[in-house]
Amino acid sequence: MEEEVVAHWPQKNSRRFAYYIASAFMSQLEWKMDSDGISRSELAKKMGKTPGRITQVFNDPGNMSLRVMVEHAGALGMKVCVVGYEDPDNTRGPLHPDVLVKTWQLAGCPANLFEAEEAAMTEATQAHFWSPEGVIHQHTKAQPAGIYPAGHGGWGKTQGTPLKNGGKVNQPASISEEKRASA
Amino acid sequence: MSQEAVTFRLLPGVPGNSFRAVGFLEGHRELTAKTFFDALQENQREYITTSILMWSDTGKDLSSRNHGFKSGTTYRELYVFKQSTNRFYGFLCNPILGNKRLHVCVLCIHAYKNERETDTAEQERVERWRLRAETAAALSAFYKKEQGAKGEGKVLQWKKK
Repeated sequence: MEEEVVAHWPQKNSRRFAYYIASAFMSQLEWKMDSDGISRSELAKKMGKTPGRITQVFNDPGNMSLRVMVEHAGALGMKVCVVGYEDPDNTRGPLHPDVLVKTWQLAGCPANLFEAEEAAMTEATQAHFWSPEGVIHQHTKAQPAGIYPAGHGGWGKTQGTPLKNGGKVNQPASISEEKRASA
Repeated sequence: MSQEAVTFRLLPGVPGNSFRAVGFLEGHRELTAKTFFDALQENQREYITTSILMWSDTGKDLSSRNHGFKSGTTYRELYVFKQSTNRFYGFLCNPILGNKRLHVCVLCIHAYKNERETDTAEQERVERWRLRAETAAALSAFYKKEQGAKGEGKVLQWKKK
């Protein structure tokens, strides 16, 4: 049998990729069930379905609809989020959703993008940014006067700077029109 | 009896990562895992491959798909990937000396499972292969090749209990 040329088989076609996504999602439900001590029969009862139907979904998740995913997750007290993402160098395999869940939890479970960006700042940067002693900069014509952290250009598009621990801190690079208007 | 060359290779299409990898030990009539894996129907193979992918990315056991036997007193390095009545038994190891991050699951034996408790014969067979010199040699050969000319890190030399 010839060796597979493609590094990660789910990338061979979208059906396989979708199968992996569905399977990974079901694995999250199973781990939740294991940790809460909920059997498939109990889940079936909660959802008003037969145990056989639940087993069928778990054993062959490939054709699961979004609605079914939401129903199963909801019965276990979980929510669902569908995420599209760009793989910077396309060498990584399909991302297991627990990677994103863990990242979200480590960031303090931000409820929106603003909280997520704030969470990405280092503690030191945050402390400086929000300190009463915030530095008043002399600005060029391109940037209006205002209170900004020293060394930062203000709000707007951010650049990532690698931290020693592998994380990133968002360093604002420029002021967006929206923020200039509100400054 | 002629010496069969025992070899190890990763599951094609699933290269693993710096933390987890799964492969097959082959080259002896007792080492049936790869043969049976190749003979699975496509949907069955897909199921097992998905389990392997998920374990590689999370390191987590999932009782319906794959798990270890850490709760027992013996054969604690044993590991199994399951699909319906198909059981692929192997063991976990750190094949590279000084590298505790990389855990490799070496699949050895296939069996059909019809009873709740694992047949101890399978456990014993996997444990024998875990301790055999040919196994260590096969893993050494594979990971020396993987590390390339730089030879970073020595490959673990197996010692019998």
